[in-house]
Amino acid sequence: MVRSKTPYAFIGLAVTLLVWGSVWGLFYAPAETYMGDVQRIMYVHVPTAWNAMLALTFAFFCAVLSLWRSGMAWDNRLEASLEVGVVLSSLLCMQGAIWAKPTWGVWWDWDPRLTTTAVMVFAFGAILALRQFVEDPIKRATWSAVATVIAFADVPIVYFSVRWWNSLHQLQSSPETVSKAFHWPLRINAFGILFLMIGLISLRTRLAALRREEELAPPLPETAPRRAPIAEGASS
Amino acid sequence: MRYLLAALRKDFLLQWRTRAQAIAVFAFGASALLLFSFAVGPVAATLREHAAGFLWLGLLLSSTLTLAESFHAEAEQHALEGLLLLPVPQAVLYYAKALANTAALSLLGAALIPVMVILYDAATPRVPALLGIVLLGSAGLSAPGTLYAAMTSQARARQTLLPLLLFPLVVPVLLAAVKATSLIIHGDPMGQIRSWSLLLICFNVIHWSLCGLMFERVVED
Amino acid sequence: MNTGVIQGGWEFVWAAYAVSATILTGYGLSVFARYRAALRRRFEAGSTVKP
Repeated sequence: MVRSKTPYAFIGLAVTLLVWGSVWGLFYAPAETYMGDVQRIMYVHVPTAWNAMLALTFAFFCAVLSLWRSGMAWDNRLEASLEVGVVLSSLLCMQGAIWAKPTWGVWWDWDPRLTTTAVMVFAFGAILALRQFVEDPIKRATWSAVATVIAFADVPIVYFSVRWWNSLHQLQSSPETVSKAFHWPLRINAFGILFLMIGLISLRTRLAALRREEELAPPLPETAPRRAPIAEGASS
Repeated sequence: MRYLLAALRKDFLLQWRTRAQAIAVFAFGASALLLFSFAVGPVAATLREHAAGFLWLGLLLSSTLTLAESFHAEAEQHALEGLLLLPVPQAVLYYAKALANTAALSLLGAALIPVMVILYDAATPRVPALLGIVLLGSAGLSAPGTLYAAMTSQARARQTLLPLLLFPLVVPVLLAAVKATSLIIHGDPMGQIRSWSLLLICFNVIHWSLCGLMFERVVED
Repeated sequence: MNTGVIQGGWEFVWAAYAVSATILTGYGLSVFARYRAALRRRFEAGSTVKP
């Protein structure tokens, strides 16, 4: 059985695109009128935002399919996209804080999108924690799928309530309206992070599948294992 | 719907039998409110301004105790499996438990209001409105809380997992309930209470239906 | 609060890119390392597929 090298191809392509897009955005794109050079953070921030949302939306679809269909395939993909989504969302919050400090003078300005992202990091991170504490793989799959569906359904409610709650206190900033001169580095980086995400989710799905195999398959009878059976959750 | 009434009767009976615990939970909530004032400082104006926030934080923290305990009886001696064998739609079991939890949390919230009034000088004549918000907020906490309590009662590290899973989800409830309570206490010149109540109602409608649908998958074997 | 153009701020730009690169690379390496470890465990448990 030959394992396909596609994930590595995606990642390689992604790194190329990200280097190209970042160099363009950092050194060759014009500075923005009001934000000056700080605006260049957008070239990583906006692509990360798009792809974090994409990863978690994909996780939602994996959850629905995992509940609907039997077998562990969609649960493996759920595990992978949850983890990648949480990593990207956490990164998003860090980038947002680094952008906010020179722009607004504070590390956190309760921007509704960023605040919702922070809540999502905790919500979906909690589901990853749930997975660590459930030993039965079938229960784990069902419960994390249910929790993912509920968490995802909650996201718009969280967004609107935070937006409304915050609107009573301050005017909103929006780093989203990007003029045409900035489109290309943004698009290149967006595809870069997209391909990186696809490659990472594929690899992580394989890892999940291997772990399910360890959990579910009995040891081969004729060959004595050279090591003791792997305890559940031994490595992470 | 006699099933629902029977299940409700079971859950209320369970709560009545463990009413000593309810007093302990109230003591926990009240001491939390006390600790908030120590943390913030004895400045009456600040405490009064944020009284609503403290009340709802205290209620949220106490809810983890109430919700975690709500499936305690079912977890013992495989009572849950026995219940599931009954020819009753499983959603009925969920709704009964969630309604019982809502009642318990509303009572707790109502009991904490006098504590808030005394500690933070946050009185208000609009008691029915305040109780209404307590009811809506408690319902909002109970809907996902009961579902996750059912889940975590069967898992390890249940005491950590329940708040970890629940708190991010109920952020809208916290925001809306605190704002509405604060407006009730301090006055509402722009008539915003209705909008925040609507948000609470929307949250409740979505979660009571979604969690009811999901309950069957959570407790199946 | 100043009005007008924000001057400088390059250290924040570098910080943002550095944090992004570190986290993405670190996570990628972590996935890769865990994946290889799982393949190795499967090989040692008796599978005939080489990692």
